[in-house]
Amino acid sequence: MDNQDADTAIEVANATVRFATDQGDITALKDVSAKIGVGQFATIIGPSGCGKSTLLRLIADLLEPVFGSVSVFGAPPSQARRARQLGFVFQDAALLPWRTAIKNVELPLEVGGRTSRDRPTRDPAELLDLVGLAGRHQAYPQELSGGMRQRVSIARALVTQPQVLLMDEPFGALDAITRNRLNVELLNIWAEIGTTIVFVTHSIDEAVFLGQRVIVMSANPGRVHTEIDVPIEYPRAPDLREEPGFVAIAAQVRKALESA
Amino acid sequence: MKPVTTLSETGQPSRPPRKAWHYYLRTAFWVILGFVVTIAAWQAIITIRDVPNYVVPPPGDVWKSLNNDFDTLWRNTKPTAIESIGGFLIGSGGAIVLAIVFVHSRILRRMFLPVVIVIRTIPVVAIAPVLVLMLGNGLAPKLVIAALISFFPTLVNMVEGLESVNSQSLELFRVLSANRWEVFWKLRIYKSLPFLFASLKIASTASVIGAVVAEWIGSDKGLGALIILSTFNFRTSLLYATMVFASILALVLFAAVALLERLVVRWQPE
Repeated sequence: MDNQDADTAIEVANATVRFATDQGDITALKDVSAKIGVGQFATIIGPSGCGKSTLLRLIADLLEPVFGSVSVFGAPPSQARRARQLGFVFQDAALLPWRTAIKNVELPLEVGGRTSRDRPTRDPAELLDLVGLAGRHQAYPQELSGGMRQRVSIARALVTQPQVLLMDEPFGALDAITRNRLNVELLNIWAEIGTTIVFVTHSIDEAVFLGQRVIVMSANPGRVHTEIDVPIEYPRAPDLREEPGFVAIAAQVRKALESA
Repeated sequence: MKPVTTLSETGQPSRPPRKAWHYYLRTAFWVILGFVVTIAAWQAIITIRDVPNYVVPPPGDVWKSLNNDFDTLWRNTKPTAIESIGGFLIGSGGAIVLAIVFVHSRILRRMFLPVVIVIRTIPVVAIAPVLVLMLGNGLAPKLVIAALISFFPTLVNMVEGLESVNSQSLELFRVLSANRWEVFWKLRIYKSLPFLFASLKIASTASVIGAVVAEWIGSDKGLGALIILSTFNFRTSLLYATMVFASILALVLFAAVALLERLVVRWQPE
């Protein structure tokens, strides 16, 4: 392992993923390579069907490549998963409706058997406060709004203190106001815990606002089209979106998507 | 370090409002009216068409029988209740166990689900005499028939319920490195409960049918035996009163399951 690898959290090298369907095999990802540094906030954007969720699932050990390799901290993703280094936030929160908010956050501490013991964890109640749900710990998911549910699911993903947080369009179903607010809060959480975050979105605005780097993907088959750096200082405030620097980068991302 | 903002969202959805007492009163009014209209129509048809009492008794005669023959009816309800409840518990319990086996073993499921479905297609009235021949006139054949009739809806629904987990939930448990045991006890069981109770409600009333049918074939006590006896003696008022008791027994079992469901399934299934 050379020096450069010590700073690498996630490395995807020439990964190809295929799914078997009734119409024959579909190549979801073709020859995809990407490197994400430790503590980095990377966003992935692309049209639907470009395999951005597939790429995330590859890193989370929910899928395996037919060719190529994926490594998380220099080891296979399965090892990272079993070592509780991965947190995953799903598109529709995926909360268990029979559990209260606090019980949902506690779920990761109850499963995983031997692998979960002796690992550092965070206090579920403290995490719910952190994501802005103080006073709603005992609420059931159906009593919470979409934004609140997604907050609970973020708290659940953080309870095992993962080094890598994978987020699959977590705010995609929310209204613009709630989404913008959660973007700011997510950056605050990131500033506090400093984990590596890979965030999939189909919103240019969100991709540029959150990420240090935007990975633009193209479809049919899914490939990495280009990568665009976002050299804007944190903390980032909501009115950043009107500033020329932001607008220029957003335009760059949009052009990349159009040419993808 | 900058403090983390904890903005709360507006428009907190609250629990569904509790229904007021006058809502229940209004519902009860319409339900009672429905029964009154039905019974009035029954009386009217008998009067207009001049139907003889031994074919269809007027509601008043059935009411009299319910009062006068109460001891007979109650004495015969007890064995039927024991057979129904016992059969219901055995049948549903067995179905739950088999559903769990089927969900965990594709091979066993592929082998035996067709067998189960073929057995299901045989009408209970056809199986009943066979079982009476095999098991005699005692409690056993009634329990088995009531169990059989409760078994199938529960099995089918329970399998469906245990498999109703969506792919995101399964992915969640995989990311958490949960084993099959944990997926079962923390996810599948809960997912299956609304399905299970839907089928238990069907099974609870069906088990009464099973017990009554079993009593027709070989019994001197129970509501089924009373139905046969009163039919052969042309005591149609008693026959109808027996049907009322059988119906009440089924309703009580149904209500018990519904109550249990309210206590257990306290969340709103998606």
